[in-house]
Amino acid sequence: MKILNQNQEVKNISQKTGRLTYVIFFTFFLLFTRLAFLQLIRGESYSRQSRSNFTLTEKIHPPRGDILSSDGKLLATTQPSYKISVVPVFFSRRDNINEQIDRISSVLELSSNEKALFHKRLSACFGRCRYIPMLVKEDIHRDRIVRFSSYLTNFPGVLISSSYKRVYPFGEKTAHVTGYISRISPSEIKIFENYDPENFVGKTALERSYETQLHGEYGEISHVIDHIGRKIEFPEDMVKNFPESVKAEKGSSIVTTIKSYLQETAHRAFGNQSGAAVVIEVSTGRILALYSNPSYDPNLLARRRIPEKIWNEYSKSILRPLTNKAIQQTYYPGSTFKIIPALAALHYGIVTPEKTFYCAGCMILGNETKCCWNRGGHHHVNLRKSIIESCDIYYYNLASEISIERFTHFSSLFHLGRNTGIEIPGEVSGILPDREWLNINHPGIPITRGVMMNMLIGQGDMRMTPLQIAMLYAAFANNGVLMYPKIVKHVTSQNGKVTEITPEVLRVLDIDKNHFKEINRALYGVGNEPGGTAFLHADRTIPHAAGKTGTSQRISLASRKKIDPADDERLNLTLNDALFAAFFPYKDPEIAVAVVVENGEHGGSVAAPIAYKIMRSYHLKKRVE
Amino acid sequence: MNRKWKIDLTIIIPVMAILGLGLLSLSSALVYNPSRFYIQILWVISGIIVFFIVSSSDIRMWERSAIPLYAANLILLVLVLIIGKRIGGAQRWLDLGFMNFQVSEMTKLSIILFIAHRLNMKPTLEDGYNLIDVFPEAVATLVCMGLIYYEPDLGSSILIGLIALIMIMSSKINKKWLAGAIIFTAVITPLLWNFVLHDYQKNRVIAIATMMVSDSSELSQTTLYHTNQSIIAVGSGQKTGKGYRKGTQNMLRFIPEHHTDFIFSVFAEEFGFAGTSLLLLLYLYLITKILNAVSKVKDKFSALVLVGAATLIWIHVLINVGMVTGILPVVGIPLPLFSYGGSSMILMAIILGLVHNISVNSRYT
Repeated sequence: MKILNQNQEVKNISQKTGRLTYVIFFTFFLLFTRLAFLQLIRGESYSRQSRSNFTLTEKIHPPRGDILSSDGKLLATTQPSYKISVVPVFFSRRDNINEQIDRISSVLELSSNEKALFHKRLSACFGRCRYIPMLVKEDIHRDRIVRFSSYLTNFPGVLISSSYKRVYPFGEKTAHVTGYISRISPSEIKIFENYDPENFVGKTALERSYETQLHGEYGEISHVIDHIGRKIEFPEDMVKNFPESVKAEKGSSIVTTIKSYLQETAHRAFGNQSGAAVVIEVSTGRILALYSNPSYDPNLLARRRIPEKIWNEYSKSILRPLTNKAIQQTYYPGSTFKIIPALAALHYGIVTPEKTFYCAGCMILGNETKCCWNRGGHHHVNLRKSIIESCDIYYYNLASEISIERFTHFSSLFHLGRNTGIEIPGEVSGILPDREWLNINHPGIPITRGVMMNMLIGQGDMRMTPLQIAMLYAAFANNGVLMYPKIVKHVTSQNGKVTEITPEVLRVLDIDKNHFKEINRALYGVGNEPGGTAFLHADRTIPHAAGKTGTSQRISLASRKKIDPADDERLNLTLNDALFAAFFPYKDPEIAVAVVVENGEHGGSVAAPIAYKIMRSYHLKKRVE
Repeated sequence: MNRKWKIDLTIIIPVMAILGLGLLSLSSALVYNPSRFYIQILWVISGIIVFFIVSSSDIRMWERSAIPLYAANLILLVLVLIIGKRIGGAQRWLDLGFMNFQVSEMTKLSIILFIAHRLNMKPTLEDGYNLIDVFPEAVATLVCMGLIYYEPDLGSSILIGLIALIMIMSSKINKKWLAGAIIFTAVITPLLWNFVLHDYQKNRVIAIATMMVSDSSELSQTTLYHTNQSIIAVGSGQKTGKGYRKGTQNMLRFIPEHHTDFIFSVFAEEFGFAGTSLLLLLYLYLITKILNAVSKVKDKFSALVLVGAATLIWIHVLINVGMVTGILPVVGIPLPLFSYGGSSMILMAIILGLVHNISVNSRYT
């Protein structure tokens, strides 16, 4: 076989390199294509990605608007505090993540719970999340932050920022008016869509119902960060069109109709008794006080994570401090209700003011005996006396003339059994039974005179919230003009725009004013005439009030007997509720007050003093003003 | 004497242009670390000196030293596995005190000289070499590849294999054997995949493949963080780039290894498609110039050295740009004349010196 010479060899190699050149050209073509694809076709998109690489945009949470009392006190406000976050990308790209967390935790003095949580959130963080600062600790006091920051310079990716802390200066005294804020829950994010998951949101009361106004507008600030999330000062020409900062805008202030001193008085007057008090300005329907006892301290709950111990203490207490009993709890109105059948009797011409019935203590109705609370009997009782001495027999005598339909219709004129529309969430409507309701709830039991008798003395199935009771007495004081209850006076936005909430007439009753005056005179007698159920407990050092006591059974005697006599706690919970409803002053009424003391046993001696303390406080303050 | 200093500007101009662009990029990449930049300038100057020394040397001397050089290279490759310096999990460097010498760079030169020399010694039959004929060269290459693979340095190992393969194939190979070799490769590849590649290497290959067919960011965020950032840098350069020292990916250090293997993405970010096409065209021009010179040479050794040199530059550019733009897995292959590093710079100086030497001599004799 022939052997090639050097020339042929070189020629052969040269031929091959010709072919190799094509291959090389082809591979370069591929590289060009790839570069053109990346830089020309996808260039915009990668530009954006590189921008988002080094742009850390933080939402600035706006300071929350204040809630004020009508006498200018802060009921809820924000104070500056500090918080510490980390940029997760700095941690999660490292292998020694546990060690990193240990070090951070020891510097920040995290509890083992907080530490475990931090670890869990960090390891669940992928993608974009890794560039968004993650909150580690907040509510840090100024002094501590100074100490932390000297250590924290060693940790890239750790950010210290200022934040806000919600403070309720009146604490439990106004808790059921202000409510509290806490971290937004997953279900709430669906309602408040633009909120981020670290956001606080109003949970109850005004914090909740005025959430959108109180919250304010988010601001935004962007930083240039390097590959491990450190903020870098950067020459401006390098980052074109860098997003400009937007200032956060503080939320609107809510000025309530509440008078802080009345809340304080109510808080003090209740002591450790369970119950609620409502004060309404008669002419406007404005709520001057709304207090439920025992209350809770919203300062303890206004945290990202409510300590379990505190939460359990509140939620498991048999006295239900988290329940706003003024609007979320219903009671048998008892004798405070009697002004409705009294008015109905006058209105329908069933009685005249002079008409008397004889009260012998008890009366026989078929095969049952119906008794007055005063077994000794009130003897001859007219309308006036029936209210002053709270005679039940008088009303039993009306039962034959007041049918269930009449009863339901007449009571509904006072907006009973319906929501009042107060701007606090969670209100319950109470119960105003009608024929249909009774048939459903007591099937097979005919609506006899006996049933109606119970109904007329405010037992039966009638249930009212303390707010409804206060509204009822305000309507009487107003001679039949019902006002919608309002708890907000005006909303002031940060730019000075004021939205007034004006009083609103609910209904003007087409009932003779003289009938109201007749009953109101009798209500005056309750506290101011010997024999009146509140005579011994009334404060007559201030202009005289008109009011009505009530003592209502919570539970039937039969049911009470089933409870173990040794179980004092449960037995106490079955005691009668004490009520007192009033308006003040009797001449030219300004406010209506309703007080319910759960298991107070006696309206005159237990509920009335609280109401009088409130009225006294109102009077003294007004005289100063 | 006169003849010795003749110069071929068609080679020197693109080389100087590439060097210039490289230093420009490095001055941007090393803006926070200027001492390294000055070291690189020293390497470039040393490179230029080495280039002219090699260029004016006797080419026969290089052919004669091919075998001793190969032997020395083998010893150093073994030595580096024993006493080499570990950087980033790989043991590829010998600490010479003033520099870390990457032995595989020397292997690249020594394999080119070795194969060119061996094939030059071996007369070619009319219908080409049988595989048996090039068996010793194949074994010599595979030994180097194996040793480098164990450092580990998969990229250099493959690169050396490819250079040897192309050099052997560009001399005459019997067609029957060629077909056999292709089938053999088809069989051996899955075996290599299963039994030789490390898991992390497989992961990189899989990750790249996955990224090419989908936009799965999960994988690219974790396994392919480097490639992803590099692609963002390249892509965000767009048409004309962000401007010198204004590449955010570079300046804020999102690009990993931004002065060595990923220097191309720094360049691409700051000078855009305009810059990258210019650079690629320079490389392409240089490579075709070298290959064109083959037809003018008189001897097989020189021809094969030219083929080897062209292939060396080509494969380096191909793999490096390929990995920086995310179409090839990340392997430690520098961009010749561009990346920071002394070993690579000196290797290129010698290789281009040989090319220039051959080119000038073939023209003037």
